[in-house]
Amino acid sequence: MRFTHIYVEEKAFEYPLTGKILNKLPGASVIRIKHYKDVFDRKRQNAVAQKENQSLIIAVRDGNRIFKGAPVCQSFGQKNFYYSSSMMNCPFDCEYCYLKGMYPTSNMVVFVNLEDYRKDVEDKLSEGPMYVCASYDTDLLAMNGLTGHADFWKEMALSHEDLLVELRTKAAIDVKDSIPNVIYAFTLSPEEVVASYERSTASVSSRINAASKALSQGAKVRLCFDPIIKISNWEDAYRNLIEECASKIDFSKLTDISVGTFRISSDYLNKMRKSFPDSEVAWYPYFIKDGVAQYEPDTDKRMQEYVLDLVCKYTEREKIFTWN
Amino acid sequence: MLYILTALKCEASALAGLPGKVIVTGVGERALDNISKISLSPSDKVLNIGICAGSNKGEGYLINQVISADTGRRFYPDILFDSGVSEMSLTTYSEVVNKVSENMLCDMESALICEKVLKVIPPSNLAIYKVASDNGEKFPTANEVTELIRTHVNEIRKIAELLSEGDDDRTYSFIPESVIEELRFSQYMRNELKDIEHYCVASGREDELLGLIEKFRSEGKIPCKDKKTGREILDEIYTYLR
Repeated sequence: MRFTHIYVEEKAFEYPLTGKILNKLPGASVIRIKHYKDVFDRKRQNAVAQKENQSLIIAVRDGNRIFKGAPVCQSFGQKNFYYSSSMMNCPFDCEYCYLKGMYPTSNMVVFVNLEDYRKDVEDKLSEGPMYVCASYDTDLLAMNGLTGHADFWKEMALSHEDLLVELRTKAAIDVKDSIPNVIYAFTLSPEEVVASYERSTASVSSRINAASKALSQGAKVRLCFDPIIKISNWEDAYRNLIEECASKIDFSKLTDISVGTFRISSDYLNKMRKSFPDSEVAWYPYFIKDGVAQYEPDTDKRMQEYVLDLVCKYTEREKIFTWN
Repeated sequence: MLYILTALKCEASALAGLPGKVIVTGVGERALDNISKISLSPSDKVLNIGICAGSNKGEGYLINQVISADTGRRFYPDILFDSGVSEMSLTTYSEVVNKVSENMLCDMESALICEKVLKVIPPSNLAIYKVASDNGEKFPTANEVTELIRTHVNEIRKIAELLSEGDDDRTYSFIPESVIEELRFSQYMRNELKDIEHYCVASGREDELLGLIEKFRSEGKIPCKDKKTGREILDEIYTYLR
């Protein structure tokens, strides 16, 4: 990861993690700032150009740190579904990613007050067990070498039995643990989709191998065929993908599988279009239904059912979650 | 268009031959009036060049943070190119500063320029390059300023060129207006077609859309009779593209 500029909030300098991160990024310009939003939320930022020269913002997160899961996100049947943003934005560059519509910048933020996150989780846990997706607005596992955030969430899970953590990734990470309440969720797309729309991510075969290895370590593994992207030969592409997965992964050992077609809030889509004028995915003529942009309903249904049928060849239906 | 702004004539005189239009703004608040006269568009670039007070006399810096001493506001030009030039934060004062400490740069315009131009252009379209000319105690003469800027002109040229890169206003409309007239679209439908054209450019499907329109013409569907038949054409375009 090459960050040319690192903006550091004044109060973030008080946290040891800040020093650790800065030590790992020699040569970058360090700029002392008052508040991360002064940089992150600037108007008229060129997110396309920023993606080529990403900056890192190190900050302290005040206010809400744990959020109720959004309706367009899969809860996997879990009650008390939350997500947490200990980082914002992603080192990868997926053309379809909702973060492109959610944030006004391509720069990343890493929050260093992890002990406050710990306290928030513990407060919520006092009300009952909870399920936290910790890597929705970023890829914590891909960034773990720099930030240690994935390790933090794993430690949280180890010390709190009633906390279930999902760590979702498009990296080919080497899982060496098997924590019963940590789910490693690998997002898998056909190589054609990876090549065209998932820039800088690990190849799909290396992700499949990583998932297979994690399973053999005894780790909980989730496969996410989500979002399914409509490319010209999508049937062949998804059939090949799932056959490749099935040849290397024992589906009976998977915790579960997620299947879902591409969808995005129409509000995010509008912002994404403005920020990424040359994005084929953003400008596709989606069908807008109840504030959600998705493929035309018949196509959407056909794509989801097609992939669902393919996955059902290798595992029971009850293990597969769909978003609608 | 790249606008190169300097506060002083003696700064500008060292910049002849650089790409872009050099404008002398005047010092401090006066700069605001002159910047207001430039009709900036969002794709324009602004490069502010000038001297400043700083402890390392003769050094040139790209500015990565501008702080207004008067308002406390902070501005962050996005430096998205690698020029190899040292970077520093700078503070803008409304009065002359007579003493500067280590690692401190001061001027009288940058924050005003930021405030004005960042209302129009993206922060990545703004670069500020300052040369430390004095430590606040002994001011240079006009000739000395020109010479000081001149010694950095190669660095400034490089920044100007890097800032100007990718300077294209891409258009996403390609269907002739005469054809759109024939479709009898409402304003709402015209906006929909605009988005469709944009998608076709982003995905390289312009020829497919133009071919489809020709097919409609050969089938007698274009020119449309009214908005209703126009709507039917639009729906057929959606079906085809989806």
